[in-house]
Amino acid sequence: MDSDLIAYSPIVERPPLRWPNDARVALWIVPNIEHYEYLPKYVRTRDPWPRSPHPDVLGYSQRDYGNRVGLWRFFDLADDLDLRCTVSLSMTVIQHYPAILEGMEKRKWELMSHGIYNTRYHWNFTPDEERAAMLESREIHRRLTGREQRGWFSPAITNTMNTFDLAAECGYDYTADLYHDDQPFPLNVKSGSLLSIPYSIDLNDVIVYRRGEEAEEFARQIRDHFDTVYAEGADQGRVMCVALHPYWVGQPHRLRAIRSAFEYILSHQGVWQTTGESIVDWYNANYLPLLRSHLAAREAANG
Amino acid sequence: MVEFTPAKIPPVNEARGPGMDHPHYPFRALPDAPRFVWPGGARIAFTVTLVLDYWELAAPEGESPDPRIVSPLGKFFPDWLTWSHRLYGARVGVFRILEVLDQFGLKPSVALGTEAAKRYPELVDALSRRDCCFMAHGDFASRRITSRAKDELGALMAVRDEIATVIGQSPKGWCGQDFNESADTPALLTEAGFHYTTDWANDDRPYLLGPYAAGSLLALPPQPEWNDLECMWLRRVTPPVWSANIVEAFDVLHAEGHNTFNLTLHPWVVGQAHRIRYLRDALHQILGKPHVWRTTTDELAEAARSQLS
Repeated sequence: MDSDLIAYSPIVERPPLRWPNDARVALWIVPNIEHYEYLPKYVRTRDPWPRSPHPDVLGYSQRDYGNRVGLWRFFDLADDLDLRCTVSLSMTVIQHYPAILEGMEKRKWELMSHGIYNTRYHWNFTPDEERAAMLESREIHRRLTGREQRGWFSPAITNTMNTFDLAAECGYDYTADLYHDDQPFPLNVKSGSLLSIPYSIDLNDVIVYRRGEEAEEFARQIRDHFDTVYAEGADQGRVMCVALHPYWVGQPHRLRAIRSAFEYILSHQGVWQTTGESIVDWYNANYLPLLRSHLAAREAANG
Repeated sequence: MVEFTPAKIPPVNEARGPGMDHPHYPFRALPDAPRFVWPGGARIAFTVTLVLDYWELAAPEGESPDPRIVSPLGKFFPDWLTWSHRLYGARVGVFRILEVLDQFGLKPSVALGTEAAKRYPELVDALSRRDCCFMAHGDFASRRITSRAKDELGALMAVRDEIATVIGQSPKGWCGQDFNESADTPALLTEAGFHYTTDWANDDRPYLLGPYAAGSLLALPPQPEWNDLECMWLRRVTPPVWSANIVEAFDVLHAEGHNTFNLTLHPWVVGQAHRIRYLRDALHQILGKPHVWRTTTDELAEAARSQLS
C-alpha cells in the first residue's frame, strides 16, 4: 500500500518562495503545552504509562512540571526576546488551567490543537472517533478564545490513514504531522484543502533528550540548522521549526543555552518570527497558485 | 536455496576445522591482504555512495523492513512520521549533499532503488547529467531481498533490468537494502551478471566472494561505521563526532595505504539542515590530504578486480 498524499517536488525546482519583507527564514517556535492524564480513562494501542500500574507519579509529575514551573520561565524568556509562538496544545489544558490560557492569550500566541489529552492516542481510531476529537478541539477553542482554530497536530503524533482528509473536512487549514519538507506544501485530501507546515522531530527537545543529549547540544543543532536555512533562504524561503516542551526546556539548567540559540537567530536580518496561521495565510495568498501551476506543469511533463 | 533451521538443542562434539563457517571466502588476516596500487600512486581510493530509495507507508504482507527503522514513538501504524521524514531526502536533503559534493568535485555512486527511480525522475536526470555511476539498490527501502526467497534470482534480475532501463546499461554493482542477503545472494548476484556488491562490512580492502557457478563477485567495503544512517540515526552519534570519526578513520587508512574509503550517505539523514555542515567539514579535512584517488564504485571495482587473481 502506498500514499499519494504529497506530490513529488524537488525544492530546487519550485518557483522561489518569498516571505514578507523578503525574510529568508520563517522561524516557527512551537512549545508543546500538554496535559497527560493521571489515570488515563482510555488505552487501546499504547500504554501511556508503561512503567508501572497507573498512576505513574514520576512520569506524570515530570510533565506537570512544565505547566506549573517550566512554562512560566519560558514565558519570561519569550517576553524578553519578543517571541510569538504557536502552541501545540492539549486542548484540555485551557479547561483545566485558565491561568495558562490567559498567559497565552495575553501574548497573542496561536493555539494549534494537539488533541484532547496527550495520553489519548489516535492510533486505530475510527473515522468517527478521530472526527469527534477534531470537532471537540475546535469547539473548546471557539468557546474559550472566540476564534476558529487553524492548525491540527495529532496528539503525540498518533494518527490514522484518515487524519488529513478529516482535518480538512473539519475545517483545519494546516497540519504539523508531516516532516517531508522545509516549506509548507499542499496535501492531496479528499475534500477542501490542507497545507502541511513542517514541524520538527530533529530540532525537538524531547527527541534530543531521549538520545541523551543536553541543552548545549540542542542549541548547537538549532544554530547549525539556522545557518543552513538562512543561507539557502536567500533564493528559496524556508520554514524553521523549533519544537519545545516546557517540562524539558523550562528546567533551570536548560534555559540559558536555548535563550542564546534564539538570540543568535534573532540577531540576523531577514528572520520572520511568526505563527503557523500567519505562514499559512501568506503562503496561500502569495505562493500557492504559483506552486499549483508549477506542479501541474511537472505532472504534464512527467506523467 | 540453502535451507537451514537451527536446532533446539546445542550440538555436542561437532567436527570443526580451520576456516570460515561458510563457503563465500577463505579466512585472510590483514598482514596478508593484497597491497592494492591505485591510479596515480594514490594511497587510498575514495568513493561516496548516495542512497536513493523509497520507503512505503506500509510494506505489503510478507515483507520485512529493517526493524531498526522505527519512529521514535515506537512501532505503530500508520507511521506517517518515518514515511514523511524519509521523503525529505529526495525533496530537500539530496540537493544539499550534491552542492557539497560539487564543491569538492566529487561524483557520487548512486545506490538507486527502482521505486525511487520511478518517483523521482527529475532527480535521476540531475544525477545522470553529473555522469554518476549507479548501483542497483533493490526496489523499496521497506522491502528486503530475504523476503523474496521463492524467487530471489528473479527479484534480482527484475531490479537489474529496471535500473538498466533508467541508466541505459546494466548496473555492475549491487548495494543490498539494509545489507540484507540470504546465504544464496552472492551466487545469485553473479548469475544475474553483477560484478560487485557493497553488502559485506568485514574489510577495508576489496576481496572476492566465490567463485560460484557463474563466477566470482567482488566485495567492495561499505564501512558502515561512518555510514550516516548507521552512525547518526541508528546509534545517535552526534554530527560533530560523526565528522571527527570520518577524519580519524581516513587518517589511519590513508597512513596504512592500499585501502579504500567509502562514505555512504542518506539524503534524509545527513541532508538535514543541522547535519550538512559536518559533511562539508569532514570532506574538507580528508580531501586536503595528498594521494587520494577520488573515484566511483564502478571504477574502483574494475581497478580492484584487475589486481585480484
